[in-house]
Amino acid sequence: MLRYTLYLTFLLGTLHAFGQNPEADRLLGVWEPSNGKARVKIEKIGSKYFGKIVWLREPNDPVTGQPKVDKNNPDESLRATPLRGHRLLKDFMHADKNEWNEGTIYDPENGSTYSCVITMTDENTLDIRGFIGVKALGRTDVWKRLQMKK
Amino acid sequence: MFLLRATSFAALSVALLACNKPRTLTFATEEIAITAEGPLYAGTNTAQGEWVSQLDAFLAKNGTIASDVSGARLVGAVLSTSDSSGFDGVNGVSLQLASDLVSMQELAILAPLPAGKRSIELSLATQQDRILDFLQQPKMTVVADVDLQNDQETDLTMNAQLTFELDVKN
Repeated sequence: MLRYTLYLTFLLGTLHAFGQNPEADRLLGVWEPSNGKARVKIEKIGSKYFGKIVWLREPNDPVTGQPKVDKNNPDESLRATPLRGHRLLKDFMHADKNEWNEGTIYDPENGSTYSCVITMTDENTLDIRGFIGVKALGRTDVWKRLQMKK
Repeated sequence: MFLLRATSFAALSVALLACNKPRTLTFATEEIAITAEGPLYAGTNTAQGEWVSQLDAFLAKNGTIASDVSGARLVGAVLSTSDSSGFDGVNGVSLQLASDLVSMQELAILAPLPAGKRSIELSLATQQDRILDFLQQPKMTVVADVDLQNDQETDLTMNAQLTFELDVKN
């Protein structure tokens, strides 16, 4: 029993030392929004979670034929940023078992940023709720994990 | 007599105003190592490096303290690599700051990159609302999103050097 306790303490200490939190890290992976236009990879920077576009169904601008850029960014100096690679989800903290909050989601179609809460409804499904001010006044999109966990 | 008093008052006012005018200090970081662990894939990859701010020591050397800094902005962002082929194979790069207590801040971008250069200067973001908040953190993460042309097995390592201008009340 003592050996088991020591082993568990060592394991938890090691995970903590390397900044890993298995429950919170379930969010990591590649996810697809309901419209299927993009795929977003969620990764960890420090102790927060961020998601960026890694795939676009239509990677090129139909008008210019060039790779799509973040043309609606409110900061004009950043409008040349390629959309593939752009970070849509920023600064999410693990709140409780199935929720990550305190983050924002960026909509490249209008250049707006919204407050956002992520809820994991099962291992392969996320409810992404974007809102302004009050969580109740928002819109939820369902994202699916690209490589389903069994 | 009245003229003398008025002149003295005006001189004193000018002197006080001059004392309150903030001065500008230029604070350049040391080279911050940023790494993306391989294998890496064609497309965007995230490289990160931790930066422990030496701002307090810099301010002390200049006879001031953090609470006297009223404003800060990034005025230079340079990425360098020791790779002999420079940044060939990289389509573009963008740079951000992240920390546990402050929301991520875009710093600079460059795409496409000049061929054969080992050191590149990035174009700076004009909206830099949270720079001062970041500089007040003891440590933060410098994040580089690197858009690669091809897959690569090895780590990608580069150095970032950031230069800030600080407005200091005196």
